[in-house]
Amino acid sequence: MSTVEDAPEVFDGGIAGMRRLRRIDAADAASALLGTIGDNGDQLHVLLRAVAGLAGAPTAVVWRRDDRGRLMLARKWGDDALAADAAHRPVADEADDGGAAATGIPLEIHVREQVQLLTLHARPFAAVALTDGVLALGPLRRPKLGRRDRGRLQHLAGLADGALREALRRAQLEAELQSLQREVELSRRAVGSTIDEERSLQLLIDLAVSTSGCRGGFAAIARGGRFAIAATRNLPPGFASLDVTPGHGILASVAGLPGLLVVEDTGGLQDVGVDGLLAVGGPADSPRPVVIFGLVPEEGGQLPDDCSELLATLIEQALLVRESSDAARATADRHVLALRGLCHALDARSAATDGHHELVARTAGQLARRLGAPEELTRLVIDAAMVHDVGLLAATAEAAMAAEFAHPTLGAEMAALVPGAADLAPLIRAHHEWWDGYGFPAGLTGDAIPLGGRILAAAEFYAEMLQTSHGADPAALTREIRIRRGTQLDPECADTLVALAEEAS
Amino acid sequence: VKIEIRRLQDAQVAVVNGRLDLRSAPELRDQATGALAAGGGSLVLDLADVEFIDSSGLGVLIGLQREAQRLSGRLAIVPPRGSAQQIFALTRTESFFTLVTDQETGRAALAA
Repeated sequence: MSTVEDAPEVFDGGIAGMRRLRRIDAADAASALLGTIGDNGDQLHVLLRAVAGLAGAPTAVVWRRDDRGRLMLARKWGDDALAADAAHRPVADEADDGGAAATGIPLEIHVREQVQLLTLHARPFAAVALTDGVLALGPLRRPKLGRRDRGRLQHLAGLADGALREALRRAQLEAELQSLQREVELSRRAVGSTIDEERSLQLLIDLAVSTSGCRGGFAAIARGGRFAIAATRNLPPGFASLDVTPGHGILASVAGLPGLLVVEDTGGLQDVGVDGLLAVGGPADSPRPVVIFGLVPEEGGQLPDDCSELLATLIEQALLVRESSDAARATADRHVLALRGLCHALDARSAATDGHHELVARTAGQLARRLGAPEELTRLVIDAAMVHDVGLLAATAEAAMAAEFAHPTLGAEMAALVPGAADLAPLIRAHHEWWDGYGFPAGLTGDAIPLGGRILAAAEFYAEMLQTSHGADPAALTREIRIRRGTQLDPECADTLVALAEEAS
Repeated sequence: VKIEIRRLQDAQVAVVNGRLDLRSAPELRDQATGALAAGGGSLVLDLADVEFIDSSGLGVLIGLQREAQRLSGRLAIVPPRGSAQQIFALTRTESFFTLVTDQETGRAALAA
């Protein structure tokens, strides 16, 4: 009977891992594997390396079963050339056997036996079934596995299964998060260029600070008559909350000297820990600055010799950034107007719906203001109301009912793709949700429905009532609203709506 | 900052040393405004040894210039010798101020 020590090497080019495995206490191995599931880095990669190490295999590949039961490549470790075929599905399911045909992989490996042979890049590998997938180790020295080797591999797979499942789950979650982040980033880009503008100004101020040898600095940009600090570098935390608009305390412009800024409130700046500030506005020939750059010198520091040129260049660049983001916003506005035009056309198809979107928008605006919503939300609700039924454009006569239920989702998806309208998507999606959870498409309940969506839902209900026979009878209108208070409609929205209706009658 | 007020013949002169920033600006404003009044609205402000001027220091200089005009006098400024003199070019205020090469030229400019 052979001993552990003289057992033949199973893997070609590997270390004597399988022999070592026999001597490792199962609990120790399991905890070593689970210990590789840390919080950082590519856990699946680390884990595969650990599994391959324990087995003594130069290459390890793991496939994960997706929602439809298909095995998809999750990760490979080791010799990339050997694992080159791994992207093919190692196991053909009933719906698709193309993968097996392409790689010569035995069918139903996960059903018939726990350990089988499979071929990757014309080399034999041992494939072991996992709960959520398949683990392949190889290449094998010979295209066959003895009973003892199968047992050892199965033992290893058993130890690794839980840890691999956890790592696979996290890898999947991470991939989903990344895809979500990409979507968010895309929609932010689409919305306009506020983010890009701030990023560009941050780069400029970083450049200004490092080139001038100053301690820190800021860039501020005019928005609606006020200056907002768009980027800072190395400034005390209190600085960002200062109002640097000329004439608002900290800075002042000087009559007769366009572009010039002086510090008015020395104490206010010293209170936040700044002892010196060189502020320059631009463009230099404009009576009112559009951008302001401020540099805070080091203690005892001086201005570099080329400071004038540096600041002039920065202002020029900042103005270009501003110009391009204004252009992007204008483009986004045009896209939103196009959506509104489509909705307008939709309403005009029937006398009963003519002006529907405008009516909902007007009502939603009144509701939002009465409910004390912040101006930004009020604006958002009105903008969403102007296009809330855009998803109905996807309706066909044959599938009218399906479109009715799908239009909030379809509309939200359309808005999400339109530059400048992505912020409207959550409200559009929620405008047929009911307070008690009986709405669609998600069946959300109460506060889980965004406030903007609840306001929109109430405004749409009101508009529909007005545009049908109930509009003629104010008492019937308020009765219908009260009946739906707390079921279809947010109670607070319903009360406000009743007040609105009573005033209008 | 060190500020020394002296007379050069009939002219009032303020000699400034150090940095004109948020810390020193209020002191310069008080002392130079006093010297300006003592000079009947005219003052030679010698900034030759000033190492740094920020936007608060510049604010004081503009305030002094306006005060001199109000008193029907003149303010003559000897700019810093070092890189701090850039502030005038940077802010395009070279022609707004009367910049002179030294105290004597400044005194002559006040008399003119």
